[in-house]
Amino acid sequence: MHYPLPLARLIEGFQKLPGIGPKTATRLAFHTLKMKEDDLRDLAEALLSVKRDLKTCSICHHVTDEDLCPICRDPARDRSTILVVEESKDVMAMEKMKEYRGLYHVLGGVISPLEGVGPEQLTIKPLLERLKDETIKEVIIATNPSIDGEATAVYLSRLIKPSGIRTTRIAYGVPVGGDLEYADEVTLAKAVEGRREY
Amino acid sequence: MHVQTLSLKHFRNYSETCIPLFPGINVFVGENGSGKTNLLEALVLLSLAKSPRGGGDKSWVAWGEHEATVRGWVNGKSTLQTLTLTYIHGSKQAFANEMRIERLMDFVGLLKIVLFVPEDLQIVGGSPRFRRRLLDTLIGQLKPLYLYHLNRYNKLLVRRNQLLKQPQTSSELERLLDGWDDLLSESAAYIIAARKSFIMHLKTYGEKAYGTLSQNKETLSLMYRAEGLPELQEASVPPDPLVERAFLQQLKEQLRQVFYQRRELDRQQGHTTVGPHRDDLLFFLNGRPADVVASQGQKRSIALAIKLAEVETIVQESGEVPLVLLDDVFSELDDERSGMLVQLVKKSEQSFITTASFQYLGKLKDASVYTVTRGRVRRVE
Repeated sequence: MHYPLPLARLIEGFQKLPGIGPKTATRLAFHTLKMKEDDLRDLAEALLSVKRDLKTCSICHHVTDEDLCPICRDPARDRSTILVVEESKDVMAMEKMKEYRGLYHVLGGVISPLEGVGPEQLTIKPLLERLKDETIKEVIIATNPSIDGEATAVYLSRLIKPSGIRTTRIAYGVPVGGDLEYADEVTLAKAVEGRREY
Repeated sequence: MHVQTLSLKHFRNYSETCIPLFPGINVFVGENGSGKTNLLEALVLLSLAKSPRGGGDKSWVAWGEHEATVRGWVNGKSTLQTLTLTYIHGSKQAFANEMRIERLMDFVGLLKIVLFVPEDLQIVGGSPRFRRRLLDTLIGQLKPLYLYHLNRYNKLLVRRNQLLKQPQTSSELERLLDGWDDLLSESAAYIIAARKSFIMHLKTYGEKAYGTLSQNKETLSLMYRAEGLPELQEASVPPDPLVERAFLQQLKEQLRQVFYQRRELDRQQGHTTVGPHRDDLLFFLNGRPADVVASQGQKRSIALAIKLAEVETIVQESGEVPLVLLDDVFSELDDERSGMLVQLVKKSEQSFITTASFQYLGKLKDASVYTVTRGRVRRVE
């Protein structure tokens, strides 16, 4: 099938987004043909603006449109705890629970020998700089329980522990409200391993 | 346990077929290339979600098709389950009672099997990879966590090897390797502890079976050889090492040190030279290494004894009697040993045997016999 060049470019562009294959990309491209020009201009502007107007917080590296993110600016936050996550979207997920009152640190990924990502490509150095501040008492590592996420967590904990700051890892386990019967064996085993005393 | 019905769609040389099966002995008779081994492969897929033939999952999809399905109605001790494995859009999906099972490792072992193929006769003297696969297949069916650690271990290993290949070493790289070694030794400890504990079971039942086979003239024993940890060979394992946190912790610490000590050597070799992927299961006859002293006949007897021990281990550990699948092994054995094999088959609730000729059927009374010709299965009354 031969598409006119502008359409082909759009299809190719859509395909670069996660979860979008050639079929969905084609469908989206044909849909944009029918959209109003104003809506399209807004969309294009929004797309450009995320790159142009967003930067990362100079303290925690969370995405923001100002120099400091609202969390780092908030005087009510507890400054003695830092929760370390892989990506900005993990900060959003954590914030949704509305229970955590400390600060964050966004690594920008995980160490991955296969992808060629080493510690220097992540915000690990800035994290260590932050830890020199004596008010910080605990670092909670909340990378994903993937192979690389786990390994990054171990690496970080070995790096931080000598400084005497309490270093913890979030627990894995059974989803709250879930039925034990439906949890898979590995999750259950991990949950039992990470059990705690009453 | 037993399979009531096996249904295949676009699987190898079967376009669409549904085969009613019976408890007891089922024999598939057919010429080479007729598709009788494909039927055993389908049963293995329902149990292990992986083909024993290798060659990738796409290879079991019929020529010119994009998806294939294997489905079995399985009667367990107190359950009736429909197990389904589908290859679709380039990956496998597993279902139990039509419910999707997200992780294949949770599907493995719902149907329990013991597979016996001619290559198993080289279990003594053959490649160590063979013997590790025997252990992994057995334990994987009984312990989902074993598969988790095996999978995790293999992934970590690829990453460790990648780090070892970095042209320059630095304190940074060393610290990274420390992190990886930490996780690697955790999974390695679980794998080794599980293998050691299952070898104890195999040893108990294998010794007994081999004693019967050799009229108690020789004694068989088994041992786990952990690369780089010679002291572990003699060390006794607690009855259930997998719940003994202290034992696992100690083993992990030992492994971490071994990984650390080998780091320089591993860097020169370009890969990790120590760990469960290099370990072996050793057989001894009257205390002497079987690969050196055993005759061809004795090696075959050991293979048989181990298969009997596998069945016994699964029964003891899970309370379920596994299916026994024999791919063309009768022709490889003399009268006495095939008599023993018949015993093995009779022990199971349901067994499947492929053979190219009717000649061996005399020994298998009351068997349900099927002829297989070019992807068609017909029951012989």
